[in-house]
Order: sequence, then C-alpha cells, then structure tokens
Amino acid sequence: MKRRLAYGVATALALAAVLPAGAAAHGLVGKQDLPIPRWLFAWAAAVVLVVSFVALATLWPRPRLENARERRALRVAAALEVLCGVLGVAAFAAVVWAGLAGAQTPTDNLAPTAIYVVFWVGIPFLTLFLGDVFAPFNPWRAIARGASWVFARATRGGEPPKPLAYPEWLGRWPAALGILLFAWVELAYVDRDDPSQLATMALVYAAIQLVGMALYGIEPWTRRADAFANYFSLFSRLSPLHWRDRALYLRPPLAGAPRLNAVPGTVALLCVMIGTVSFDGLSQGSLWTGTDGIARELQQRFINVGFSAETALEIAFTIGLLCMVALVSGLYWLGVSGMRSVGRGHPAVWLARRFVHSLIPIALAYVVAHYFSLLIYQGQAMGSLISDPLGEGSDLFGTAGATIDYNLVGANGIWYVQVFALVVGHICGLTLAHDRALTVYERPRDAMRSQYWMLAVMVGFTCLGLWLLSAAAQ
Amino acid sequence: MSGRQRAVLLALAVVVVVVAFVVIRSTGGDDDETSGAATVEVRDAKPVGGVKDLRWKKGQTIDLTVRSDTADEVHFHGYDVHKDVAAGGSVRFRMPATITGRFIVELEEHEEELANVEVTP
Repeated sequence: MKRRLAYGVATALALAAVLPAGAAAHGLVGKQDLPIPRWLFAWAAAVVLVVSFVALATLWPRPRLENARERRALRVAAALEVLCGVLGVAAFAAVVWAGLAGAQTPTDNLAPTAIYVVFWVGIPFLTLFLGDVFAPFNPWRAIARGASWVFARATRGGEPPKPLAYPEWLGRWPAALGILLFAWVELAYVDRDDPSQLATMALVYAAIQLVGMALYGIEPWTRRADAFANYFSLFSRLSPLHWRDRALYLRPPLAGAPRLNAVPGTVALLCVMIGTVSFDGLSQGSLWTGTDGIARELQQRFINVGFSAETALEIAFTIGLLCMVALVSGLYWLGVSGMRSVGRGHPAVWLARRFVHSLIPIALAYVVAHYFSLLIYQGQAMGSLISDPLGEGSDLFGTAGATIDYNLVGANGIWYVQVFALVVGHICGLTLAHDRALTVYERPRDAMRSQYWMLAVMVGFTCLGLWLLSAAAQ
Repeated sequence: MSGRQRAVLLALAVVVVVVAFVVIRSTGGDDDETSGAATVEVRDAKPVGGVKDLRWKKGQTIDLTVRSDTADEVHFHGYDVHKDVAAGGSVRFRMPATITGRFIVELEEHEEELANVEVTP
C-alpha cells in the first residue's frame, strides 16, 4: 500500500514536472504566433532608428500637444449613463455566474475568455479609437453610484458621511499593485484559467473597490486606486475622443497624454504595464520555456530546495515577471538619470514623472503587438461562448456551434500589425517626450540634448519589443 | 538646431538604411527546409529525443506519424484534430497545411507535448 502510494506520488510529481508549462501562456490558445522573420526584424529596427534620427532633426521647436484645445461634439443624456452602468453590472454578474456555475474546463466556460481576452485585451483596443469606454460600464463604480443614489433617496437628501481624503502619497500605487497582481495571476499562477477561481477573484476585486470607494469617495478612489479604471484610462489619453461631464469632446490624438497628472505611483504603473506584457512575450518563447529554457532551469533549482514542481514553476515565473518589470523600470531610470545631467539638472523623480506620459503609447504598442492575435482568434470564441456560457450545451442565441477561423488573418498579417504597432508607438512616444522637453527646458539646445537620452530609452523599448517577437526569443 | 547637426543626423539615417539593406541581403531568406514525412516515437508517454520541431510551408501537406507504446489521444492543436492511439499502435496526421502559425501536438491525457509544428507562409 505504502509503496503504491509512493509510486502514485512519484508519477504525479513527474507529470507535474513536465506539464507543458509554457506550451501556451493560456490553456485557451490553440495556435501561437510565428516569430517575425529576420528580414522583417532588420527592417523594423532600421525604420525605428531612421525615424528617430529624422525626428530629432526635424521635429517642431515649440510645444504643440501640451496645450491642445478640446471642442465639444455632443452631449450625453444622463439616462445613457445609467443604462451603461446597468449593462456593465449585468455583464460582470454574467461572467461571475458562468465562472462559478459553469463547466470548469477553461475553453468551455465564458469566464476565462471574457476576462483575459475581451476585458483585458479588447477594451484597450476599443479605448484607442473610442476613448475611455470602460468608465461608464465600470461595474463596481456603477454599483457604488447606485448605492449612493439609493442612500440619498432613502434619507431624502440626507448628508452621506464625508469620505476620507485620499492620501496624496498613495497616488496610483494601488493601481500599479493591482495590475501586477492581475498579471501574476494571468502569467504565473498555475490555476490561471480555472473559471471558478477567476470568478471568485473578480468578486474579491469588486469588494475591495467598493470598500475603497466607501472610504475615500467614488471618484477619488476610481481615479487613483482602481487598477483597471486606471489602466484603461491611461490608454484613453491617446484617443481623439474624450468623454467628460456628460459630453463628448474632440481633441488631437495623443493630446490627452500631456494632461496626465503624474502623481506618485504613475511611473510604477507604466513600468508594470510594459514589464508584464514583456514577460508575457518572453514566457511564450523557447528561450524561457524550452527544454533548456530559463524557466526549467529555475524550476529545477527550486525543486532541489524542496518545493513541489508546481510551486517551483510558479516561483520561476514570478521571478521572471518581476525581472522584466525591473528591467523596464531600469531602462526608464537610465534615461531619466541621463536627462538629469542636462541643463539646470532637475531632480530625477520630478523628471521621471514629467516624462512618464511618453510611455503610454509604448505600453499600448506592446499590448497590440503581443495580444492582437489573441484578440483576433480567441475573441471569436465569444461567438459560441455567449450562447453556451456555462459549457453545458445550451444555445441561447443560436451561435453555440460557431468555431474559430484561424485563417481570418494569416501570419503575414499578424507580423505587419505587430511591427507597425511598435514603430508607431515608438514615434508617438518620441513625439510626446519631445513636446514635453520643450516646456521643461528653457533653452531649445538643452531640450534637444535631453532628448538624446529619451531617444535611447525609446529605441531600447522598441528593440526589446521587436526582439521578444523574433526568433531569438521565440 | 544648426544646419550641420541636421545634416549629420540625416546622414546617420542614410547609413542605417544602407547597413540594414546589406545585412538583410547577406543573411538571405529564412531557413526554407521543411519536414516532409515526419515520425514521432513515444516511449513511456514521452517523445523519444525530446520535443521535435517540425516545419511545413503553407500549401504543402502535413504528414506526421505518432507511434506510441502508451494508449492515449493525440491532439493536433489549432487544426484541432484528435486521434486515439492504442498501446503499441500508431496514428497518422495527413492534411493540407492551411493555417499558418505554431501548433502543439500533445499526448492529451498525459498532457505531454510531442512536437512543435510551424507552418510558415
């Protein structure tokens, strides 16, 4: 008996040790991207450098985006706000319900695809074109607003307790931590695709947000501490559409970014955003997960120390995730320290915050480059999932039989989108940094010299992005 | 910025283009070799000689035989073909390479990766 047990444990361990850890970042994905070919890699890198030199030589001498004007295009009815809120809460409830009540196979359940593909990747794409579309649908914010409306009704206009002042020093740190934790669940946690665990985590997240909003007020909390609201809102600053005060305003693309109030934690949030996506790219390649990959090596070390194979793998992935965030942060700080040596020598922290908005397009470019194919292919799975959210054979809308067409976009199409996104992100980042330098430095010569450093940072980010997509890493 | 600085930067840009062009020409195209008819041998639910990297070009015919001493189901991801293999038996995947990308061939119940298939455009 004892021997059989030992045998069973040994088999289980052996199995766990050889789990196709990185076979796919998600159990959701049936197809991975081909690495970009060498010729495209070389051309893209060349274009990045050429564009950078030409930009330095020809960019405008006076700030243009810093004070761009907005003009109002249309008003939004209050009823529409309420409707969006109700829809947001309903969608949230449906995903949580599917996760808890449905089949626990990731691909058969609505929750994993809805969270990782539609919510996490789909919304940033939409946001770029349509502005901050998440804000009106934000389910926890809608619940909080509904509750405060009911409170006001019930007490006939009675004064709600005054919220605490949101601490200035806390800034966007909660949001940075929130995104880091989400990325950890997505990329390092072994049960990342488990529908009921995902649903539970979504509920816990919503509960934390409700407590935060109750303590510090709905808007102050959402603006600073709600990880997803901050994540999407940063991307929306690149969009020409700006929704505020029940109206839609139009502005030049990118013009929202310079208005970013870079409170404490903002630099960390952007470094986390770029670093975690970088790790996602790395962790899909053979350099990381291959037979002689870094992850295997690390995993073996932690197994030797006495961890189970599963935990050892999680630790290896956690280390990788943190290292990529550290690498990205280090690269940015290098550029900032370089800039410090220019002109009157502004303090590093101040400079880091003044220029951090130029990382927003880089972050979005990384998202597009790494997740475009996930959205295009796995996004199609929503067709069948909305008709059969629980994976129990129902057919609510008659689309339960829909399948994924992997030929919707071919490998060439994906490559061009990836490279185009990185190059355009690079140009936008440079443009924003250049514009800011003109206001930070009084003498145009200093502005110019400071931008050699930012240029180096941007080239670093873009080449890292290209490299992660190339055969060297994949 | 002075005219001279500008000229230097633009000259640098030209240099980059020339270097890139030369580099790309000299490295030639990517590896064009394809796998033809391939076989993966499975012993104790593991691929002999590790996970094989296989390549076909779009439009060719994928031809992969899996010989296994372990009964299980072999799953060709992406193309989403499942075939049962008996202990000591073999299964053959023969189909046109229509979808580009990287796909995993997996011993489904053992969650063991057998081959990594690339279909290039």
